[in-house]
Amino acid sequence: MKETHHSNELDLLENADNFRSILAQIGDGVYITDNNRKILFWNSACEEITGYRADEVTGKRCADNILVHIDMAGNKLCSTNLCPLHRAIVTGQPSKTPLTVRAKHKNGNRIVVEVSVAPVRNLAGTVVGGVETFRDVSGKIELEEEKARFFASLSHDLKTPLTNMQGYLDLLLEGDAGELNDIQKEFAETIYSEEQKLANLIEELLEMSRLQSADFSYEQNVLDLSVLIKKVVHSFLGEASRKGISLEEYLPENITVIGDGDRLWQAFSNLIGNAVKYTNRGKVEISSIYLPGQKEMVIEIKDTGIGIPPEDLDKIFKIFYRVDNNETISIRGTGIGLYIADSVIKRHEGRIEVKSIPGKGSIFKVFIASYNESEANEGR
Amino acid sequence: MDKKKILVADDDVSINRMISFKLKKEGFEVTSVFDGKEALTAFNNSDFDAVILDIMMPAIGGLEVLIKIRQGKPMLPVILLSAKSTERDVVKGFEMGANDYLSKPFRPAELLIRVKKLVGD
Repeated sequence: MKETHHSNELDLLENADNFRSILAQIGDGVYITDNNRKILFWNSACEEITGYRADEVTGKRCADNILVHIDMAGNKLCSTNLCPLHRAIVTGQPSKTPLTVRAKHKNGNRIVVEVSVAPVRNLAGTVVGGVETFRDVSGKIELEEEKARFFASLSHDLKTPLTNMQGYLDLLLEGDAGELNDIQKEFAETIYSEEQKLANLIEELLEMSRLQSADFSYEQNVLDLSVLIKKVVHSFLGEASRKGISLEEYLPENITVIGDGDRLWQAFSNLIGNAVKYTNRGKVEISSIYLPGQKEMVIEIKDTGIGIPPEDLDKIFKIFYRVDNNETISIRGTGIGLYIADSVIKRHEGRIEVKSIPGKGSIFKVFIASYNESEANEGR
Repeated sequence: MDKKKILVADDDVSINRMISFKLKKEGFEVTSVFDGKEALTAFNNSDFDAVILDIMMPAIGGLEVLIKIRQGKPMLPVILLSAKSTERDVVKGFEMGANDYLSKPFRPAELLIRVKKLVGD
């Protein structure tokens, strides 16, 4: 074993002198490890960001209390399959999007770093190690957290009056406070639908600010997409039954993916919510296609709604874009929902495809990488 | 038949009244409380058939109340109300043993249906 490591090390550092001087001066922290994540190279930005000198860490494993990665939800990643460097080494794939994690400076201060990883190959193409680059984003994160707190309280403060307006109007319209005459009913209904528009606008604006404020702190957790989508479906059952359409899901017990639960919830909530919103009769169905051996899952959201004109199909994922015609004019919306769904799925290294026939309905297909336990099963 | 008893905990006086108005009209007996502390006192002093809990209440929040309720009554139906509708909050609520979750704004008629379903009415 020892000899193999040694020769890997040599392979890795062949011609390294040139690289060393280049990497040493780079403003981002850069370190290189062997396949066991033992540190071979540690540049001066690493020293500055973490407080550890190169001679202190060389030969040690990065997980040995040097640069312990803790995700934003508080899970320690180093000893799990989710360690980004471990995944890069095992899968041979670089990270496509930077991961934001917490770590500790040598002096005990908590820092937040944005991490990118890639495997390092020798001339024969064999993975012999990994490289991680990181930058200190602590200041940025602090500001973002403040922003998030602000929006959480704003959200609460906006929703309380909305809940009252909608609730009491509902009591009036249901006749709970005595029967209304036709004109009273019409007026109350007008207030109700205007209030709904307002509620929807506020919801989407809050969603967008939430999405933007946490744009670079996507979490990477192992989660069951099936359970998540089932709960989203559950949350729209009321609206579907009010509209007299059926909303059903045919998902398997378990769809394991790596991702950010909150963001995926937003994405599927927007897609399914849209399907319900733009379907006035018939049904909305959610199903999945999983081909064994494939790395991708397809979640299909199919509706019998008003459909999307062909000329609008390539624009619907643009921010603030709305299909503008007689059929959509009465339907509330800001043109943010699909934009959010699309950006979330893209951040999960997936994509959304759409097919639609006006008057017949639409099919949205969400392609997302499924997580295979065996692919990265010996994280230590 | 005895009236089913519901505990409603929401710090917003108007929302609280809206819920209890709807439930009373449907024949439920309602106890209204306006913070988590009052909710726990009411819970300890009498038997309820279901509890409606707002998550964001001053001093003792709904989730904390839920934990205490679960220690005493693992099976008592609890519906959480929240202004947040993110996955994390919903999952947290269910993990802590809530039977149902409704995000604000909601329709009183929908809450009624869910209460009826949980108390077997």
